[in-house]
Amino acid sequence: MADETKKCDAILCPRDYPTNVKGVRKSIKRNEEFGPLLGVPRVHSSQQPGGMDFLRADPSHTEFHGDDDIHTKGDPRYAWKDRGDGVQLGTLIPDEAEPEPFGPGQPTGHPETEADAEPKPHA
Amino acid sequence: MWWIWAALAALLRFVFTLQLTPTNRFINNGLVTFTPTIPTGTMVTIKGVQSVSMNPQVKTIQGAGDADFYPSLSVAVEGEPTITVNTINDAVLNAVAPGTVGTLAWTQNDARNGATTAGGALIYTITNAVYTPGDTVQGHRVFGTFAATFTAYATDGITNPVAVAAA
Repeated sequence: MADETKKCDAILCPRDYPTNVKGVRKSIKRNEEFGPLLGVPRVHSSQQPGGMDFLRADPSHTEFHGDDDIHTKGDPRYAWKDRGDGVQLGTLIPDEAEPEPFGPGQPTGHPETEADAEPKPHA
Repeated sequence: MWWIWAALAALLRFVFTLQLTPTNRFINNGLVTFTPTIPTGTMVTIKGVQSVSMNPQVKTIQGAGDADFYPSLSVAVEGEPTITVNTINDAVLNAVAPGTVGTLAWTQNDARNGATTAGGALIYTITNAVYTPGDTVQGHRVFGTFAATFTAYATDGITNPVAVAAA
């Protein structure tokens, strides 16, 4: 059953957030604040290159698409929205359906056909 | 009489709060498990754990030139988190083939509260941990030890495979 209080799928927050606590209390505070947003009691946090922490419900989730699909590897998995205090809430970007090759409106990939399709300038 | 019950409740609440206050100190390891994912396998509980050591293994490259004696630039270019579990149960991972990929979970217990929820214990989860057997050591009049080494990778190349959470 989906958690009704869940507001996002992942969170990016500054490494020192929340700033007034240190050590293990920081992880406890993150559970208290971000757990309800992610719909879980326990928030898994990873230090990312660049100074942000990546928080999610499932530690196996990654910030970007993995190498299981060469077409999407490295693409962001989440759409991020800054809530104003440096914390960004991420929503999963739904996977796009694969476009039909050479379907209506799709480029054919043939230079001649492409050139023919373009409107010719008036002489 | 009501104030006696109120005082008793307040005392119990105080004791309970005191019990759960994290010490920010850790002692002993709680549950240590390895769950193979490639190939899929059943979770193995690593018992008899003596120590767990974790090193992010961040590597740097240095630049220097001209009359430089020290590097004039040093940048971090790579991380390869490595975790070593030392145990006296040296047969615990016999059934796991070297190179098996899995999830390693490890609880670092709070010094006073153990692994109590909100009591200060930390749970580390290492995804894509590749198992390699390490040294088996047997000394005189001491228990033999076995070192299981795990190196972790990220499928997207960016997300740190080591995640931490408060228990």
